[in-house]
Amino acid sequence: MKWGFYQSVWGLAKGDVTRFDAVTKLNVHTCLLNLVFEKEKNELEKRLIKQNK
Amino acid sequence: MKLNIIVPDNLNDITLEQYQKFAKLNTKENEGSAFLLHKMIEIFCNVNLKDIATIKYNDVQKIAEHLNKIFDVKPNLINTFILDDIEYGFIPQLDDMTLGEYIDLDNYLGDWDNIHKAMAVLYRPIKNKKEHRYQIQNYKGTNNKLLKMPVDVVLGSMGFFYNLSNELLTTTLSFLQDEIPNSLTSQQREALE
Repeated sequence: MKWGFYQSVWGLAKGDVTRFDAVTKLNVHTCLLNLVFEKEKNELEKRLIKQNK
Repeated sequence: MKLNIIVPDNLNDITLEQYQKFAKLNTKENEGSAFLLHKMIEIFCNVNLKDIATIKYNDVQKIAEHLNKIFDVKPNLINTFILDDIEYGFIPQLDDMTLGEYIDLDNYLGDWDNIHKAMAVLYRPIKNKKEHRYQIQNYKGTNNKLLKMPVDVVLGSMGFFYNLSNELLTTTLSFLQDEIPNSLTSQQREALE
């Protein structure tokens, strides 16, 4: 994948490039858990939107 | 002409940089070729390629056989080693790894050209040591000094991750085999049977 981990760091920093360095210093488990949560939350929201259409 | 050659005794005598040079040439195309044999001796014994032509073919073969035997050894994880008077230690708590360290490790561990960058994540100078316990310095990015680290340390750490991932895969699989049937509906279970 072209962007690899960049998109994970981007997501965790909420797109704020000034926070990238701080994000890379966070514990990896904390970050991965947050990314999985975000992914599942998005999927759930997408499903709910589809159901309500 | 007299030629003194120092042949490495074991993997500890070979540096990562030497192994990287060899790995680049050790392709399917070069497999079993005289070129690879000569390069192998040039790289690991620090001999000029033109001087290898003056060595008896039998001796070249013997050196190559010896070197091949060295690489048959599968080293275990080596926790600490000394390089240029600095003691390096393997990251003591993998769970404490930061995202930045994980990204660099994931990017470089399978890439022989850049594996020293992965080693800079795994092995860092020890700042405090008490008996077998130690603390390492914070990660500061690539450390090119590690190009001179012994290759047995590199192969040992790669073997460690290989075994760890195999164990985790087996554990995950047996966990799923136990858990999935409980979460299936009776219809789904019937469909699988």
